[in-house]
Amino acid sequence: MSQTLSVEQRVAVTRDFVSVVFNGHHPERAGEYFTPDVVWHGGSLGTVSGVENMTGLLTGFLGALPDLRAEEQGVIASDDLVVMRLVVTATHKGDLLGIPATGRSVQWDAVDIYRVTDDGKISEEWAADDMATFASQLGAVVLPWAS
Amino acid sequence: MASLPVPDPVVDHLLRIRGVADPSQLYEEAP
Repeated sequence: MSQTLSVEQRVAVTRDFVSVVFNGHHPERAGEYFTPDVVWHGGSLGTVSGVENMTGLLTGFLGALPDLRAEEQGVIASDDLVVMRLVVTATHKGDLLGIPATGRSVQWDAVDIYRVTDDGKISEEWAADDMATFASQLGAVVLPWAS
Repeated sequence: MASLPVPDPVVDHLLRIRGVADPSQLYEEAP
């Protein structure tokens, strides 16, 4: 039987998810945090539905960026939504998004919005990652204003 | 559909989710 979580408890769920799955490099544990029918909105990466598809996506990302670290910069939460601002750093060790492995360090900003259910599971996520910066730092695109 | 420069697990995964049965056919041949 579900019970209503406090906003603080929902924030704790998202912090635990980031800590274990991203910073702990355990994409195989994503299913502990997602509902079976989770929907992930990834901007230019499109929408991914279902916990198995999400686990596969995260496994691919963390395989290419094996030392990834997402550092929390701030959190805003209301009702069942948690907004987390992150700075993500990683080393580009594997081919990713059509970009051959460079061995370069990358750092980009991300704003993730999570919907957390009364059962303490993430049922929806909007991931706003600065993919232009990511691609620029890896030499895949040129941003004339960026050095 | 444009060809892809390198095999890539994430791109493969996203393509399969969208119904591409064999993403490897999209890759450019190695020089």
